[in-house]
Amino acid sequence: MFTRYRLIFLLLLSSLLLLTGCEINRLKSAEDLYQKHLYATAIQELDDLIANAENRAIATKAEILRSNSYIALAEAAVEKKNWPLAIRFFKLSNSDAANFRLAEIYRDLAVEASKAGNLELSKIYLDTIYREVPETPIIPEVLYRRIAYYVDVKADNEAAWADYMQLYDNYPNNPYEVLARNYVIRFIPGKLDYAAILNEQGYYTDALKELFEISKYPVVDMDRLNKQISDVYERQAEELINEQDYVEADRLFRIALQYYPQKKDSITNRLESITNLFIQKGNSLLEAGDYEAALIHYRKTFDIIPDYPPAVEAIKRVYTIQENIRKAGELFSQAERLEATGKLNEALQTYNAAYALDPKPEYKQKAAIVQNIMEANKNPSAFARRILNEYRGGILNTRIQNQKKELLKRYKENEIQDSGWKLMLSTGQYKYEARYDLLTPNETYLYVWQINLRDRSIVPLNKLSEALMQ
Amino acid sequence: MKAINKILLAVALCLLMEIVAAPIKAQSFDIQAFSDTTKYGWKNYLDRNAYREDLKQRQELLQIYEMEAQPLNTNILKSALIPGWGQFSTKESTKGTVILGAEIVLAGGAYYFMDRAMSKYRLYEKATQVDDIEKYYKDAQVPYQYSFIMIGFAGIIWAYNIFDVIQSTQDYNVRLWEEIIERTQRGPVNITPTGVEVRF
Repeated sequence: MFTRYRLIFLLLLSSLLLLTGCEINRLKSAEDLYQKHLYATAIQELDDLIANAENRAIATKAEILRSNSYIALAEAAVEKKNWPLAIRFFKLSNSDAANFRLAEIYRDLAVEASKAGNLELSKIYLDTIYREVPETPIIPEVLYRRIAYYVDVKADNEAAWADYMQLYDNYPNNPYEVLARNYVIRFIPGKLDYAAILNEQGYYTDALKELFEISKYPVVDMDRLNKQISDVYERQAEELINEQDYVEADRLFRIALQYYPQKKDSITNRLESITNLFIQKGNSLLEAGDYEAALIHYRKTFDIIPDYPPAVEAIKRVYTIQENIRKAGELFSQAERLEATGKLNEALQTYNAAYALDPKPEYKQKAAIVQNIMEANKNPSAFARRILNEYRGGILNTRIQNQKKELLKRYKENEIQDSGWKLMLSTGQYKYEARYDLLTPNETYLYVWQINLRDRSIVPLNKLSEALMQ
Repeated sequence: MKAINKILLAVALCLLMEIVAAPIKAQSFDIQAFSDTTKYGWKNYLDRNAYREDLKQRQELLQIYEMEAQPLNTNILKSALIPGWGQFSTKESTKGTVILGAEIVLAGGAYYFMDRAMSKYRLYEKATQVDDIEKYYKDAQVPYQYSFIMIGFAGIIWAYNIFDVIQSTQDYNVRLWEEIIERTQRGPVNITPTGVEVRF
């Protein structure tokens, strides 16, 4: 008897140990409960197992089973139309499948609220779906209903447009997207008008952004849209013409033509008129010495009118000028060499020839210097005297004589000693010193200048002379 | 003795009740508390999303786990047939070697002593003299007892081997899951104490 009870006891004990101690057996026990539809009990068992399981793989399996158990409970609540409890159980289930069902319940509640006239509550349910279950397959329907709400109730076109963009970007040609077009088409003309206003006010980038955004969606008359895009480019091009940026204007006119080929005649006429503007701009660049930019503008006319004769002539002119400049440069170098070897007459002629080809001030200045040197070599003092006499229309002579007249008011003529011009060599080549003295018993006026025969410059050597020159 | 038997029977019944009554006890609960959506620490949908993503990742890893995990029943069967085999499967080689070695030694010893006892017993059966009969019977009895002792020890070790293989398999599977989690959390490039490790 004793042995038999002991055996039963040991068997039960070992069974209990196996049943409760082993995690896999506890999971199997919960699975049995789930199979027997004892979901709440299974959940409690699983909660305990999840909290205490050493093997987290088994805990993960338990979490999945617990999720399924909650779904089963939630479906039972749905059958009894106990929505709050169903929502809570679906939330506790927290799986993708449960979330989708949760979204469906919210959708049904939103529809019911809408039918009952509680549009705000309906919108709250829709927002909840969109926020909490964005991956649900009923999102197109949610977005469609929200668009309808924004347009019909709130008149919030921007919010409706944002939702429609989401809808089309993610679910193009979905039945709800097709339905939503009916709402969007209502406010698209307003958006186009807004883009037109932006264009008129010069906000071209914003206008294009608006138009290009609309162009992605099948809710607009593409002919009208393309014309508006073309208008924006055309207007920008006209603005660039005013700024004399013809290259960019030409590019924008062509883009405008691509968007709206019906404008071909008007744009072609405008492009032809640009050819003349290109020539004018090229000419001004040529005058400024920017030959490469001038050539670009002349050649650009060929894109509009091939072999446009004024442009061909202008290009030839540019080449001739460039050739003349090159030749002038060579002549200038040659003249410098001649000047260095003392062949001043030939150097002068060569400088003048270079200046004739390229009227650079540098060439003219060099020619003048050589001319001065030649005259200085012939008769330096006479040349120096001539420089003095010709300086600023003979101002030095006039002012000295005026000074003398002033002195004559205070002194007798015999008291004034007038030295006249005295010219003498100064330090440095081609430099002369010119002196003029006016002496009285009480006052002395000693004028002295240095004359550079090379460049005809006169430098005062004392303050009195400097004052006389001012 | 009867009293002890009654106590044991009462304890056994209590245990049985515990097993049977547990689901019944679990059914009585507060529905509000039971359906409280924050009871798992998810304060809002963001917390729920985070948990869901984590569970989905772990669910994917379960496939790897199922492929690499050691099945408990198989290991018990292995160790029941050849003691230590299950331990070898769970990478507990030392333990497996000791158990297998002990079983071989004990079984071999038992066989040796049994063989000796049987040869003495045959002599005992053939003996005709009283002195011989007594001597051979005595000689046969000692190795016969040794043989039984060794068989008993072998049985104890076999039972321990079964108990141990359950533990070993569970520990192995716990470690395996942790290793799988760690493996997936590590990126292709890791800085380890021995240098930079790149996995392709």
